Amino acid sequence: MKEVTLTIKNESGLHARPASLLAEKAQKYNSRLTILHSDGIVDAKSVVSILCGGISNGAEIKLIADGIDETAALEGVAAFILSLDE
Amino acid sequence: MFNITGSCGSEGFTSGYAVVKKNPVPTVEKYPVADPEAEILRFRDAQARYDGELSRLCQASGLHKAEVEILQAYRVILHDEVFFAQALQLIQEDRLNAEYAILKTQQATEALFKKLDDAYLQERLTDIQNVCTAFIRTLQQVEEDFAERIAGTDEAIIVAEDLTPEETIKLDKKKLRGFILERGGVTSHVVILARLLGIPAVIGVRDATSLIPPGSHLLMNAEAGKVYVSPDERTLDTFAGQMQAAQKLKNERDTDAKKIALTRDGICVPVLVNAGSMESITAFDPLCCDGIGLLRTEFLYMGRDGYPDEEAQFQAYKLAAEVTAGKLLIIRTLDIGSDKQLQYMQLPPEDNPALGYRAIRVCLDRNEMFQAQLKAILRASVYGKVKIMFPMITTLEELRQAKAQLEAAKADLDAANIRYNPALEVGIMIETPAAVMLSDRLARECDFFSVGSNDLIQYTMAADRTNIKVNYLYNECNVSVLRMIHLVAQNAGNAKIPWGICGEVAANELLIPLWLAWSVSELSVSPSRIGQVKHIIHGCSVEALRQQADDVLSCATSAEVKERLAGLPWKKEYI
Repeated sequence: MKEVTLTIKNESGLHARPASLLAEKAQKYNSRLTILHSDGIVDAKSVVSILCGGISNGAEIKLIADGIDETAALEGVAAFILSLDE
Repeated sequence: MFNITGSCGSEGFTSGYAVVKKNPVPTVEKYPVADPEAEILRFRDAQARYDGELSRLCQASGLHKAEVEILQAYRVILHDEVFFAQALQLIQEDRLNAEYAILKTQQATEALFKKLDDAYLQERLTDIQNVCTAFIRTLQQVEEDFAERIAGTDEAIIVAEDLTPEETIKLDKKKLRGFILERGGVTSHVVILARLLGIPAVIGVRDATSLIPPGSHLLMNAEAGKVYVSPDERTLDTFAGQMQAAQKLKNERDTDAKKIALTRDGICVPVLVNAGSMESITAFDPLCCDGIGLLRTEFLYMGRDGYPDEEAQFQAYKLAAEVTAGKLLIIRTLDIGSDKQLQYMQLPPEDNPALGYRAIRVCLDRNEMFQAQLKAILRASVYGKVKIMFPMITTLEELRQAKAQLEAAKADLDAANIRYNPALEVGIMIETPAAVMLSDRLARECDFFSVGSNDLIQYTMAADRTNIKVNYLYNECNVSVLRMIHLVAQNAGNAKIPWGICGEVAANELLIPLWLAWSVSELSVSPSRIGQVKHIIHGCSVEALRQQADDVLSCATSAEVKERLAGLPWKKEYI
């Protein structure tokens, strides 16, 4: 299991389009990908989960990857989240 | 005939015939299933069919990129196994039919979303509801004949409670003239699409589907939020006149955007754009824009884990210089404060970020960071007509320190034999009252001014424009504000340096003649306003304005100012 802490920097947070793209990206990996935030837990492969999570700009989250490709999954998804700019 | 009013979702005038779409109340039956496995197969089959439909829609020709993105987002929701796990469980364990299982899942999510107090998210709930409804319809094998009804009408104005993105996308755009919706907020898909397609939309019209008879002739003035149903002769005439005038104005502005901004007495006042992202740089249109009057550099520092190095910055500034190809490019050094979330910068949390550690104050305090930016800008200066500008200057000492830093950067580049423009012009943003009051001395030690009116107005009026209790004080025609800007203009004139405006007042229709009268050298605005600004410049005669504009300063209230400005001679005369 691997984890990293990040801050959400894009303006709309994990809403709308970013949520959709994030779920798509996460689904490409075998590992389970979980986001821990102040209000609870979100399954990063579920767009509805992400939307319900209400994770906004400035939120600090912990991204956890658990599985065969956890290193690649953690890096890939973390990089994706940090690259969001809308 | 009668008329109804709503809000503007997307501007424009149009006329057409009503195609009314009533939402049939979906009847979802609940019944037990003998074979849950078979029901799950039925679920998966419908899921695949609906996905196929969405996928086919995506491939349709002539789709806007935004339309494809929405369809894609719908597919992602459709394949959300965590979301539909609930439904599958209801089928498997409770032995219920798929339609009902999906409906229950949808309702559970609705309850969750109601707790989130976020308008933007509510629109996303609509997406989830749309996917579920369409999924259920696919299971029920209900065909939608709405798209066919449009086929019969050549100038269709859709009247509906709301439209799903798919319904919008399926519409034959050639026959579509407008939308009238009972619901729809500014972030709803239909409104966003309507804007992208340039189709007028009036939203928030209660009971539109009951009030407007199908097939009736409709006129829409979307900006005013007005719909005229079965208009009589007189209304038709008035409307035609309004529509023509609006179209004429739009055409003029579009034409003007591509012309040189010359006043009637032949004075050129370049109209530049404000930019602050890679996108806005690459979107620079040399046919309309006379340059980039403000390149905000904060975007290079955001969304990262550490400072952008000199090389990365240099590449971005070089690109901007190449894209502006010989036209003016004014790069503003970092203007950041603790109100922006940049962890790596470790800006101390402040009670009052607007009055705190920001902009030039941070730069003068962080040598290495500032040097990297200065060198990057210097290196880029050989690739175009580049100038540099310092934000939030309040004292002469600050300006001198910043210039000393610039000289140090030059010395470093000299030692490394790296090229830069040694005659790089240095200007400052005038956005604080202190700078205004010192503008006579500041003008002697820099090459140009740019008035940052947004902040200048807030600091002058001691009012936060985002605070609804006091933002009535944020008034571009406020007497004190105009006196401040006039002082800046005078001092710049006396020192013979150019002064420009990059704040929002640069595009204020009432004020542009005043800026021209005060010899503004350039106006930097958002790209969508270029045509409008140039249109006004074309209609102005600076000489005539100079004679008339003086007594604006003797007005005592902003109401008087507006009255005086409205009387200035700048209307285009068609001789």
